[in-house]
Amino acid sequence: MSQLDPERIRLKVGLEIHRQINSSAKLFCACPIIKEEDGKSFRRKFRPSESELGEVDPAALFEARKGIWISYVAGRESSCLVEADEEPPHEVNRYAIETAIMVCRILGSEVVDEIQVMRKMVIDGSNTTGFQRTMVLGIGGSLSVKGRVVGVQTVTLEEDAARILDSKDRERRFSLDRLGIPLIEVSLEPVTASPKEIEEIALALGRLLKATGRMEKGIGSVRQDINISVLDGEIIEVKGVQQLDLISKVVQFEAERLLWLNELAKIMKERGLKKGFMNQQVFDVSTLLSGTSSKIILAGIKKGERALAVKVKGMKGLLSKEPRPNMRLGKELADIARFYSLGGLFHSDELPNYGISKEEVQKIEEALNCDVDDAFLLIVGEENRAKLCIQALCKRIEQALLGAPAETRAAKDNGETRFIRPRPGSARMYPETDIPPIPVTSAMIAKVDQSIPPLWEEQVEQIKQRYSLGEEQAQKIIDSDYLELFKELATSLKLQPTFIATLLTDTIVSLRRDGFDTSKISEDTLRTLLYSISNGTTAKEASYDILALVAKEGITVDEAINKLNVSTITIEELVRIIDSVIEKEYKTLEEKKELAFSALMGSVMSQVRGRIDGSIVSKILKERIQKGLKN
Amino acid sequence: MTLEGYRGKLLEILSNAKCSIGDDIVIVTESRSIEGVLMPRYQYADAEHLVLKLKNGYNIGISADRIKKIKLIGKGKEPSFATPPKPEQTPGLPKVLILGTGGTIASRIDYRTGGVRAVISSEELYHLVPELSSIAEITTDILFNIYSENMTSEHWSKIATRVAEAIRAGYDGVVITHGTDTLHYTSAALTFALESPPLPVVLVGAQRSSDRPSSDSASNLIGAVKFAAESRAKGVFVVMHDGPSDDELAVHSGVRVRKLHTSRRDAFKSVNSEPVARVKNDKIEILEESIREEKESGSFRLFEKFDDRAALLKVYPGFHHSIIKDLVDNGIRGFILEGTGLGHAPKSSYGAITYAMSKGAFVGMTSQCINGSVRMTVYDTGRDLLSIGVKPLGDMLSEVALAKLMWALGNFDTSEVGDIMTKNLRGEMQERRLL
Ligand SMILES: [Zn+2]
Repeated sequence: MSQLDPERIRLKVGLEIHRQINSSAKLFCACPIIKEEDGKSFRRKFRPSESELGEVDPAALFEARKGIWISYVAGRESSCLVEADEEPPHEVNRYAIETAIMVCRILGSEVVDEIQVMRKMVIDGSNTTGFQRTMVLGIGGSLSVKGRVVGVQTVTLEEDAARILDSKDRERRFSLDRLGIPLIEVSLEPVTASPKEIEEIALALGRLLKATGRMEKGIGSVRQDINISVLDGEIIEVKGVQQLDLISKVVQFEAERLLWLNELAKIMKERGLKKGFMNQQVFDVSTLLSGTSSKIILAGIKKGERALAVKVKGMKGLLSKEPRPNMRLGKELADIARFYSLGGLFHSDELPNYGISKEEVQKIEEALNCDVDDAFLLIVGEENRAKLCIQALCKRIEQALLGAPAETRAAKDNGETRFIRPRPGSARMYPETDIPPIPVTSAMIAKVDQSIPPLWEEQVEQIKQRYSLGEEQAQKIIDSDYLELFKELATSLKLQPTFIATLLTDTIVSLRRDGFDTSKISEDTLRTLLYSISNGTTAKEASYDILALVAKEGITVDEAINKLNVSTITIEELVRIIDSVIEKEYKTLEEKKELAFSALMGSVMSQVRGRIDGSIVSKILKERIQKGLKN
Repeated sequence: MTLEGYRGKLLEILSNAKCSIGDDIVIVTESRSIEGVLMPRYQYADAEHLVLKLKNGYNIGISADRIKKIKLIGKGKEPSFATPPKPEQTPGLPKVLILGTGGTIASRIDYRTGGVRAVISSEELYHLVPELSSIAEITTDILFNIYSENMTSEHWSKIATRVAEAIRAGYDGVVITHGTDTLHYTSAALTFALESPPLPVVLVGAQRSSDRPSSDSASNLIGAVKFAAESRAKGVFVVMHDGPSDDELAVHSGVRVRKLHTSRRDAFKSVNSEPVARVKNDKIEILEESIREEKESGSFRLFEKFDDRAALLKVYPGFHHSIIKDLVDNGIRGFILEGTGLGHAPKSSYGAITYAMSKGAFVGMTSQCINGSVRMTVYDTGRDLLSIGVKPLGDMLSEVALAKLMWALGNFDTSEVGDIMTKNLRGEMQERRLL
């Protein structure tokens, strides 16, 4: 990974952090927050509303062109008529409003005098209404991170979207359980900083929010959107980054990608390509390919689909040019084709291949009247959809002349990003007329001010002193999901608080790193385990193995202890095991005398590890060796 | 649209700053300057807050007390909605007239101010609901634009008269867009006003306003136009969602339907009967073949008069006899009593009912149970009411009975009203109800 100079490339990164508020009810109805996947289902089709000048919003149009049906699953426990868009929204959840005001007060944001609920158009089906309800609570404010002051743009309160269950055959299915969960969003001013520093800003803001004690914990409760631009170019929005340590990777990848697209634009200009160069006729080349051995094309044509081709003037070699893995124009185009649910897109830089022969490539080139430096695209699909898709692809190639187009992208687990849709214009909000404006009184603000808990830094200090933890350990336990559990167990159990803290932080992190699904380890599991250690049922040393087994097999702590044979043993049993080892290894002992200790210790430990404290084993083994030697 | 919704002190400040809705302005408060677009204020919101659209699209309310200064930095553009070109149409499609009476079938949003404008012309309608252009050749006519709770029997007359014109002009079907609150009263009134119509007259509405992407207006309208153009049914119908999904619509008889939910898309249900047809995945399924029976040519007649001196009264424990008496003294010529159970009213009301009849008023009985028929021969109370002269109206819905009564009073002699009311004229009363 090359080192980026943020100043030189004018890297600007704006973070939007969304966190789920730990409310017992949703934002616009009384439904509880429960995960549910079964229920009644129904189907809807959305239409974009018209904006002025008779033009729909580009993002809305893009979705509408896909013309897909959306299915919803409405669980009885987790949703009501409000989520199904069969009843108007109720009053806005007061706890959520108070929480947002609290965040404003901590960040020094000015709380608005009157809250106006807005509708933000989202017609991908993730909201049954076709819009997300959202409201600004505060404007301005700032956050200080290692001496850098980062400005706050807005603090908003919004409803979460429905949860996607699956997406196939142009029909998406969502569960309504997540729809309407209150989220707080803090948008920061763009900063010019290194990817690592950006990550630190996100961490600091995350800690500040968490310290309110009003944020939900667990996977999926935090989502970061990252807005990135370089060299004053278009802004790319990377949506839904859940892991904090992914932020620097995403920024790095995206900055490099944007720089590369700038580079590509330069090359295109050098090749003499000008605006309008992609105004090319689309040809139906199905008959030329009737004898092809490409399975995708044959299967498509058999189904009545068509193979369409279009010339990409002067771009030969540029579609597959790749400055780093997974960063090439051809891939961007494939992502767009995937958006249209079209799998069969080929470009000439990668041909002949995939069953398409050299002769077929030549035939297509002839049909399109290609010059030596021209490339072409070939797509197979249902005729109308393929035409729409080819239009979008040509538009995308033309946009490459100007560098990177404004896009919304998704982050992958390795920090790479992929196209999801064009970035929506700003004109996609209008008032939610079903909810009257809500005045914010000074009494409301005063009430919130009285209930603001200590800041994160103060909480670290308190924990350090109260439980004699080191600075780092105190930070870790506060950043973990188990602060409350830690406080409870550190007060009620005889165990060392540092041991409890280590188990709840480092052990869990190692398990996750080693690939265990730690979401299967509940607070109750941890509580039971620590009680078992505290009352001597099992040994500290077995904690990792027990939790690993719980995560892997979904069994209880007690079952895991039995299965691992790690219930503690008595001193008598230990002596018996040691004596049998000494007997077996008698010869070694005779030869090496005391030097045989470590070999014997290893042999004993292999039988008792996790069932009794190692220091006891060592002490008794020494005694028995002495005794054995005397005899 | 200048300073819509603002009053008092704010109106003064804004007028002095020469601002109009939609202008780019800067609000200076004690703590900061905020730039944005001036938004209209809702009519019923308080007079203390100014609404500003921020650059990121959000609106916020700013208290008048905190405003130090307002700077006008740019005049806003009036929203202009371009008229889209007429789409190519397949020749020879059925001719359908869409009559607008209220509610917005389709609308456009001005995102700058949040204003919603109803779409009126057929060109715009084709543009917003492109499916229509391949179903029918559409003409639109906005008769009036009112909330359906403000509908009166005069509006019913106007609609009926316009439909009769359309019949004479040779249309293949008529679609009437209507607010949903009283849509079933209008459908009943039209069923009586139009005798033997040779085409389908389809009422349609939306339970979710058309300014939202999830509105049911487009799917309902497509279904209604399709049914009007292709079903060959004759009569007055209501087309709305059959369930929460957009791909299943129910077609109800105009005199057997009632709004049974305040907000759901499938609020309209056929009562004491089943829908007469469905539009499922864009295909018409006829469930009641008789709706397609050929009418003798030239048998169509228009009875467009209504007399609204009729009342629909719900009987309840403690029902006070003076309610009927006072109404009679104020000129009311007929009553539909929505009785309890099988069609009952308390003994204490017998005197008032007798008084009403002595003044020549009609008194008919329906049931507040909604489902089922009245049967006044089972209990003493029913027999008593019958002997006084109260007419049992079978399984006719109360709202249908009221519309029928206004129609009977408007078109026929008082002496005929009793017979007309107790006779099944248009399928509003039926003998068989199924399990
Ligand atoms: Zn709910």
